Amino acid sequence: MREFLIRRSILAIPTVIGVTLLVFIVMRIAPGDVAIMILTGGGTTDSLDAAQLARVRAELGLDKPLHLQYVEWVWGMMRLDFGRSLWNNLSIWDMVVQRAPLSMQLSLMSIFFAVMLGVPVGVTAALRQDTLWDYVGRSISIGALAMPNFWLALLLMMLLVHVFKWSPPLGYNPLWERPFDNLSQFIWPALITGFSGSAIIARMARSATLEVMREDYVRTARAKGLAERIVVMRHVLRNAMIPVITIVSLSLAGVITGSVIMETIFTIPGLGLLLIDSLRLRDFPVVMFMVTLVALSFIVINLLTDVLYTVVDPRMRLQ
Amino acid sequence: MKEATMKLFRALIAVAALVLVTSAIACGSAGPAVEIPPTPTAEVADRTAGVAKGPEVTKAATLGGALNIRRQREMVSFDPHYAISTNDNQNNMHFYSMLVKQQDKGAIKPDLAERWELQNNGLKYTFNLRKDVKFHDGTALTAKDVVYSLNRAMGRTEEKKKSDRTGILDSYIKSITATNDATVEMELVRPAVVLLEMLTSGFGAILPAGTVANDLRSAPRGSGPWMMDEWVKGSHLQYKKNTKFYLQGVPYIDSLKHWMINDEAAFEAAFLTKKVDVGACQSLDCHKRTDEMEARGELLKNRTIGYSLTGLGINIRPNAKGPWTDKRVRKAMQLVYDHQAHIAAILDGKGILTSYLSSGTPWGRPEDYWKNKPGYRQPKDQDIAEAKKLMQEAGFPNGFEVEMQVRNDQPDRSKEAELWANQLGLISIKPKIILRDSADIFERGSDGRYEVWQHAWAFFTTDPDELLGIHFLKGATRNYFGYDRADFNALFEQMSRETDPKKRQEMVTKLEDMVSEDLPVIVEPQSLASTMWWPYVENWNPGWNAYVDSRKDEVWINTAKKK
Repeated sequence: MREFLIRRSILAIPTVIGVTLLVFIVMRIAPGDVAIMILTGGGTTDSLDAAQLARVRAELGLDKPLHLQYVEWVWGMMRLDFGRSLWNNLSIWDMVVQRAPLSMQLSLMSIFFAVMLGVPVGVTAALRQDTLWDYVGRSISIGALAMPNFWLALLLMMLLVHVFKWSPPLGYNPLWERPFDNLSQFIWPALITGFSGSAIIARMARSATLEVMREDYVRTARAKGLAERIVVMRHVLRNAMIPVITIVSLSLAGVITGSVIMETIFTIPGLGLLLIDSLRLRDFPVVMFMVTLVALSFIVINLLTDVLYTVVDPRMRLQ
Repeated sequence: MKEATMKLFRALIAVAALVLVTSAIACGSAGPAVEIPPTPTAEVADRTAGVAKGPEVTKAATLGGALNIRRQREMVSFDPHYAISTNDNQNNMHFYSMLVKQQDKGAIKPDLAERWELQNNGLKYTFNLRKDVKFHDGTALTAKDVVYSLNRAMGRTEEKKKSDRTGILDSYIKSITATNDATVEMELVRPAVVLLEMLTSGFGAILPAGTVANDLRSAPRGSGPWMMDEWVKGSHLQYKKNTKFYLQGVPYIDSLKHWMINDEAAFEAAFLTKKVDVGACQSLDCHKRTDEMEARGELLKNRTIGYSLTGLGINIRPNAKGPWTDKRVRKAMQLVYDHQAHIAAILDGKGILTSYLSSGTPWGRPEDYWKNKPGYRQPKDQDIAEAKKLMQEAGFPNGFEVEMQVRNDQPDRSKEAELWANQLGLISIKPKIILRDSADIFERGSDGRYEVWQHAWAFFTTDPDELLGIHFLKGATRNYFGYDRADFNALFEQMSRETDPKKRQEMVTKLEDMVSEDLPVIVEPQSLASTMWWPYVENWNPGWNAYVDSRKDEVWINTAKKK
C-alpha cells in the first residue's frame, strides 16, 4: 500500500506542474489586461497613458518576464504564500478560507442527499426488477436527469415566495455562527443538487446491482443456503458499490468549486461565485490559485478513490 | 360639609382624569418620538451663487431602522476619484462628501460648501466651507483637503493620474487655491455652466490631503454620513451611521445594507418577502407582477428615461477606410434600423424614441417629435426603399461586410448587435459580430482599431457639455469616432459659455441636428427603467442620475407601516 501511495504521489507531480503551466499560460494569453481594467474599470481608456500603465503593471509585477512571473508564483505557492488579489490587495488565502466552508457544506450536503436518495432507489429497482418499484425508481431518476438544476431551483423559489410568502436568508451565514439561517439557506440548493445527483447514482447502482446479482459467487452464496438479506448486503451491495464510489468521489472533487448556479440563485457567497467574479475581473492570482486547487483536489480524490477500492474489493489490493 | 365633600370629589375626578389622559398619551406612543433636525435643503436655481437657506422640511419620526438595498456588482474600489464603475461610485457616495450635492434635476445644494459665489465674469468661484466637518478618523476637513482632492481628480498631484470621470474638470479649471482653512478659490479657464453639476458627482469626493490610491484599497477615508461596518465579499456591504456627521441627526436610519444579489429570481424573491426594501426589475414577468402590485397600492414605482449614448458607433477618422465612411451609407444604415422592433425585442416594450439628447435630460426633444421622422417612422417600407437607393448611389448596391465589435460582458449589447445584423441585412450589409473584452474594446476604441462598435456610453451629468462635448467635440476624451466638424466645434464653444438657458437650448438643438446629419453614431431607443420600493421606505428619492444622488441619508423606515 505504501509503495502504491508513493508511486501515485510521484506520478502526480508532473500533472501538477502541467496544470500550473497551463493555467498560467491560459490566463496570460486570454484577452484583457488587468492593468488597463484597474485603470479604467472596464470603462474608457480616456485618461490612460503609457506611464500610468507601466506603473500599474510594475506594481502588479506584470512587467517581469513571463518565466520569472511563473517561477515566482509557483515558489510562492510552495511556501504557502498564495498571493493577493490584484484588485483589492486582499489575501487570496483569506478570501478562499472565508468562502470555502460554504461551498464545501453545500457540496457535502448535496452529495449526502444524492447518496441517500440514489443508492436505495437504484438498489431497490434492481432487486425488484420489472416491478412497479423498478418503474417508479427509473422514472424518478430519468426525471431528475431531465430537469436542469437551475430550473428546479427557480420553481422552488417561486413556490416558497408565492405560496409560503418566504424566501431563504440572504448572504453569508456560516453554520457555526448562524445555524438556523445557514440551514434555512442551504437545505434547498442541497436538496435540488442532491436530487439531480441521485439520478446518476441510482442508475449506476441499479445496473451494477443487476450485474453483480448474475455473478457466480452470488449464485453460490444462495446455493449454500445464505439468507437473501445476507447475500444482498454482504455479496451484492459491496461489489455493486464500486462504480457508485467512483461517481461520488468525483463529485467530492467538485466540493472545492461549489455550484456556481446554486450559489447565484440562493445568494451563497461561496467559491464558485469567487471564481466567476475573479475571471470577470481578470484577477489572475485568484483564478490561478483556484484552478490549481481544483486540479490538486481531483488528484487527491482520485488517489483516495483508488485506496477506497481496495477496501471495498480486496482483490484490487493484490493487483 | 356637603359642598366641601363635593369639591374634594371633583378635584379627585380631575386628578384621575389627568392621570388617565397622561397614561393614554404615554401608552399611545410606540417609541421615542424624536424631532429630526432638518438638513439644509436650499434649492439653488441660479447656479452663479448659492447658500444654505436653512430648513424647508421639518418632520417627526421614530429614528432607527435598517434599509436593505440590492446590488448586482461587488465593490471593487474605495477610491472615489479612480472608481471604475457606477456601482462603486454609488457605494462610495455614502462614505464621502462633495463640495455641493444634487438631489433632483437642476437643484444644486450645499454639501461641504456652505455658500459659493461666481465672480470675475464667470471666471472665478469662491467656496466657503463648513467649519464643523470631520473625516471619519476625527481629523478636521479643511480647504487644503478640497484643493488636494480636486487636483488629484484632475491628475495634478504626484499620482499624475486623471479620474476617468471627473478628469475633464481639467479642461475647465485653471487653478484651485485655499485662501484660508475654510475658503477655496477656483479660477476657471473659461465660464462653464456645467462646472457645479460636475462637482456634485461622487467622483468629485473630498479626501484627506495626501491620500493616495494604496490608502483606499480596502477601506474608504471620507467624511460622509456613512462609515463601513462590515464587508463580506460576495455577500453584503454594511454601513453604519457616522454619528459625528456634520448634519445632526442625519442619516435618519441606523444602518444600510447592500446585498449582493446577481440573480433576478433571487432578487425578486428577496424583494417580495421584504428582505430587500428597494430594487429594480429586469424581467418582463417581474415588471408585470410588480406593475399590478403598484396598481393595488402595495408598492411604489418610479420610472426614468435613460440618457446614455446607445447605438452603433462608426469609425470615421480621417485614416479609417470602408464604405461606412460615406455619409450616404451611414444614412442608409440609420434609415433601415427599426426602432419599434428594438423597443419590442430588446427593451421588452419599455422604451422611448430619442436621438442624441435623450428626453430623459432637460435638453432632449420628446418622443412625439421623432416618431414621424425618417428612420423612426412606421411602417418601415419607405425608409428601406430610400436606404437601398442611397446604397446604390454610394456604389454599394450589393452591400458589404463589416466588423461590429461588442463588449463580451453585457448581454444586452449582444442582443442589440444581433438586431443590427438582422436589420442591416435588409440592405445587404453583413456585419461580423466580434465579442471583445472591455479592456480590449476601449483600447481599440481609443486607437481607432475598429470598424463599427455597438455600445452604450454612459454620462454622469445631464449637461450638454458632456452629452455632446465628450463624444463629438474635436479631440474630446471619448470621441472614439473621430468626429470633427468645424461649425459644430465653434457653436459648442459658444453654447458651453452661454448662461441664458433659452439661448443655450437653441444652440444645443442646433448641435444635435448637426450630429444627426453626420451620424458618427446611429442611436437606438432609450430604455424606460423603473425603481420600486415598499411604502414603508419613507422619503425615498428615486434619483435621476446614479452618479450624483446615492447617499440615502434622508430616507427612513416607517416601522408602523412595515408591520
